[in-house]
Amino acid sequence: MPSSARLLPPKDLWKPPAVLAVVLLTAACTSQAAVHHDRGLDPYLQGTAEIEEAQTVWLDDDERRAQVDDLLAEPLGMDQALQVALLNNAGLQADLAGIDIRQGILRQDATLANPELHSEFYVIGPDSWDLYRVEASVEFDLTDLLARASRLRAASDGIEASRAQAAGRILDFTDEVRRAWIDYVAARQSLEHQQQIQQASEAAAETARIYHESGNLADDELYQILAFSAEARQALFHAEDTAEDRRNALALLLSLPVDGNWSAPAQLAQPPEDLPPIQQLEEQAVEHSPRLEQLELEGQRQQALVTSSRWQGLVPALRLGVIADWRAGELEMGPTVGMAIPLFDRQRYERDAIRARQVQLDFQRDHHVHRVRTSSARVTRRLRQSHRLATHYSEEILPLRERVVEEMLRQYNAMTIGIFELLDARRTHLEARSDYVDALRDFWIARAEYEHLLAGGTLDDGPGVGDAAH
Amino acid sequence: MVNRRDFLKISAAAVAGTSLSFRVGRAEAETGTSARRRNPNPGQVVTPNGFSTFGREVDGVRVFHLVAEPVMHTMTDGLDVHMWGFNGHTPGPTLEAFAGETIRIYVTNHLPAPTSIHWHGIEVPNGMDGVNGLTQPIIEPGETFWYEFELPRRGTFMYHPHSDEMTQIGMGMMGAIVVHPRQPEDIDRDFVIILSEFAVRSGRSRPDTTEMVDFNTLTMNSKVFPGTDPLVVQRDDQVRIRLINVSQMSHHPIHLHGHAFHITATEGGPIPEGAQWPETTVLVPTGAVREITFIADNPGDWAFHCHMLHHIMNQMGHPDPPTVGVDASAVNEVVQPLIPEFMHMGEAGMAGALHNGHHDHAAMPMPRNSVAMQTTPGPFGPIEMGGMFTIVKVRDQVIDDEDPGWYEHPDDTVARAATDQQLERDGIEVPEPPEEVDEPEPHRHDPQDQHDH
Ligand SMILES: [Cu+2]
Repeated sequence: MPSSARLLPPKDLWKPPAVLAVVLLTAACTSQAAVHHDRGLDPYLQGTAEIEEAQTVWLDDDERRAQVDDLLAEPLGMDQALQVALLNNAGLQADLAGIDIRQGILRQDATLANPELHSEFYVIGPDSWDLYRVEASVEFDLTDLLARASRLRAASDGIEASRAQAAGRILDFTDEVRRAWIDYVAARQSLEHQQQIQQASEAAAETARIYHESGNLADDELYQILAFSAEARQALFHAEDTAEDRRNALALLLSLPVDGNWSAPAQLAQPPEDLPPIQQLEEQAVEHSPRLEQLELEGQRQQALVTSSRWQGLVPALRLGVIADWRAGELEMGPTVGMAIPLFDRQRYERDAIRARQVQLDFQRDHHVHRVRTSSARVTRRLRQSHRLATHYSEEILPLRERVVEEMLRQYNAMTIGIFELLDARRTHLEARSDYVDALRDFWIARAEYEHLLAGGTLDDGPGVGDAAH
Repeated sequence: MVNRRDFLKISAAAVAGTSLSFRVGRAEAETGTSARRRNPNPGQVVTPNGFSTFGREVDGVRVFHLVAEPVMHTMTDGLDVHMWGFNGHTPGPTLEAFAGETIRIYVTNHLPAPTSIHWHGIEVPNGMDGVNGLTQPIIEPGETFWYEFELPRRGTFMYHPHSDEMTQIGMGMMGAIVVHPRQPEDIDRDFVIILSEFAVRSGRSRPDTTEMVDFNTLTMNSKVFPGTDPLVVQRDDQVRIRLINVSQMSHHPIHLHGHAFHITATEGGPIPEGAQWPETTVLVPTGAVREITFIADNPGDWAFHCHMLHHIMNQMGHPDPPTVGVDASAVNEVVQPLIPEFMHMGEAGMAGALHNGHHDHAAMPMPRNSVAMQTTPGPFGPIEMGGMFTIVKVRDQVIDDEDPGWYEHPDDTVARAATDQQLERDGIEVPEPPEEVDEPEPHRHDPQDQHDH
C-alpha cells in the first residue's frame, strides 16, 4: 500500500511549463533520470526508486542539447543511454504533455461560476420620458460555492493521480530503455562472436582448400568442409540483422538517428559475484508502485466528486443576490433569492457512475497488487536462474572449452589428431562464448527487471485485463 | 639409459610387496645377478630391462613363486603406465632351469581379477596347462595355486595368463621361460627379449585393453626406445637373442644391422644346422619364439628393431588428413589468428617436425605423460626412432657389462657431406636444385570454378 508520506499536499502553485530537469539517482544502479519538463513529478520520481541522492537541475533547451551531446561523445553506458532518452525522447515528452492537458481540464472543472448580473430598463409612458425605471440585480450561485471545497479537492487529487501516472510512465519508459540498451549491446557482442565463429569456419575452409590443393583432401572432404563453412555464415547474417534491428530500437527510444555517430560499449559486463538483495523486493515494489499511488489518489478524487455531486444534486440550486430599483430618481434596494425546486435529483446517475468507478478502482488495486507480487516472484526466479547460468558459463564452461583447445593443440603437436579436429575445438569454444552472451543478456535483463520492480514497476507480461482506464 | 634406476624400482617394489615366504627374482634383483655378465655360468640368460632367476631347489625340485599384481611401469622417461605384471615388474622374471628338471611354480593372484597361467610351448601334463575353465579352475584374487611339471627339453618358452587374455596380456602380464641343456653351450652372450604391443593413447596412463587393431606402443621387454637397454657384447662374442612375441595381433620382422644371423631354434625346438640359412631379418609371429645366433664381429652401435615402420614410432597417431606436402606457411597464416600458438605439423614428414625444435616442449607443448613425437639425443643429432627399437653395442672390450656410451668411429668411417674434390674425382655432377619446389600444375578440378558455370 502506498505510504502516507507519499500522499502529498496539493500543489497550489502550479509551475508554468518551465525548463526543468529532474535528475534522480537510483540506489541500485545509480542511473540518472533527467526529465526535460518538470511537471511536479520529482517527488514521485524520488519515491519510485531507492533514492540516496536526488537533485533538481534547471536546464534550458541549449543546455539540454549540450548535455545530450556530451553524453553522446563517449560510448553510451546504460545510465547514459537512460539520460539521453529522458532528455531527448519526444514521445515521452508528448506523453508528459498529455498530463498538462489533463491537469488543465481538472483545474477548469474546479473554477467557480461567476456572479450573474441581471438588469431591466422600463419606460413607463410613451409621453413622459421622465417616467422610467431601472432594475438591476447581482446573483451568486451559493450551491456552487458550497460544493467548491470538494471540487477543489477532487481536482487536486486528480492532478496528483495524473502525476503518479506520469511517474509510472517514466518508470516504464526507463525499463524499456534499459532493455533496449542491453539487447543492443548483447546483439553487438553476439555479432562479434559470430564473426569469430565465422572466422574459424573460414579458416577451416581455407585450410581445406590448401590441403585439397596439396592432394591431401578428396573432393568430398573439401566440399563437406566448404558446405559447413557456408552454413555457419547463416548465423552471421542473422546476427548482423539482429544487431542492426536492436540499434534501430534503441535509436528510437533515444530519439537519435540510427546511423548517427553514437555508440555503446562492445560488451556486457560480467555478472557480479553476488545477487542483489532480493528478500524485500516484493515489499519495496508495492511500496514504490506509482500505479498503486495513482489508484489510491483516484479513489480519493472519486470520494471528493461524490461529495461535490451530493451538494449539487441534493441541495437545491440556491442563488442569492442584491436587487436595485431606480425609479424616477428614487433608489430602492433589496435582496433576491432564487431557488430550483428539487423535484428531481439531477446528479443521481453521475453519482452512480462515480460509485462504479470506485468499485473499479478497488478491483484494479487488488489486481495490481497481485501483479506486483507475481512479478517479484518471477523476477527473483529469473535473477537467480540467469545468474547461475551466466556464472556457470564464465566459471565452468568457458575455462573448460579453453582448456580443451589447449589440450587439443598438444595432441595436434603430438600428431595424434588432425588439424580439423583442432579447428573444431576452437570453433566449439567460440560457440560457447557466444552462448555465454545469451546467458549474460538474460542476466542483465533480469537485473533490469529487478531495478524496475524495486522502483515500483511490474513485468508487463501479466494478464492483459483490468487496466482499462476510466 | 634407465637400467640402474629401474633396478632400484624393481627391488623396491619387490620388497614392498613381500609378506610372502619368499620370492624368486627378488633376490636376483637385489643382488644384481641379472646384470649382464660375460660368460655366465651355464646358461645364464640376460633379460634387458628385466631380470632372470633360477629360483631355488627344494628336494630336487626347482621352485619359483610368481605374484601377479598391478605395477606402475615406466616405459621410457615421460611415459608412466598403470600395468599388471609379476613380482613388481613387467615382464615378469625370466624363469631359468635345465632340461629334465621338475619345476614347481606357485602363483599368487594379487590382481583385482581372477587369472590362470599358461606355460606356452612346454609339453606339460594337461592339467598343468593353465587354460582357465578348460584345464583348471580359475585362480581367484588372493588365492595361490601351484603348478608342477617336468621340463622335457631345452628351449625358449613363455608364460602368460590364459584368462581374459585381452585384458591381462594387454596390461603387461607376460614372462619368459628359458630351459638350458645339460651340456654347456658355445654361447658368450644370451639375451631374451619379449616383443609386445599396447594401446596407450598419448596423454593417458593406462593401456586400452579393448583395442583390437590399433596398437601405438610397441615394446621390447615392456620398454620403448630410448627406454630399452642396449645389448652390450664384446667383439667376436657368440651371441644368442631369444625373441618371444606375445603381441595382441602383430608379427614383428626384427632386423639386425651390421650382421647376418641364423635362426637356430623356435619354441618347438632347435632347427637342424642343415636347415638354417642366413638372415638379417627374422619374422616373429605372435605366440612364437625365434632364437637367433651370430658372431658379433663388426664393432659399432647397431640398430636392432622391428621393421614395421610404425612399430618404431612412439605413440604413433594418425592425424587425418595427412600433412605431408601441405603449404605450412599458408596454413599458419590462416590458423594463427585463431590459435596463436599454432604451428603446422608434419608438412615435410614427422622427421621434419622432430628436427625443427619440435622436441622443445616449451616451444611446442605436448600432452602430459606422452612420448609421442619425441626424439632421443644421439651422437649425430636427434634419433627419431622409438618403440620396438634397441641397440646392439659391439665393442673390442667390454668392462662389467656397462653401457660403453656411443661408438667412437675410426677416422673417415662416418658418412658426411661430400667435398667438391670428391665429387670431381668421381665425376659426380650434382644438378642445380630447383628454385622453388614447383610441382607441375596438376589438372585440378577447382571447386571455386564451379560457381562460374
Ligand atoms: Cu613390429
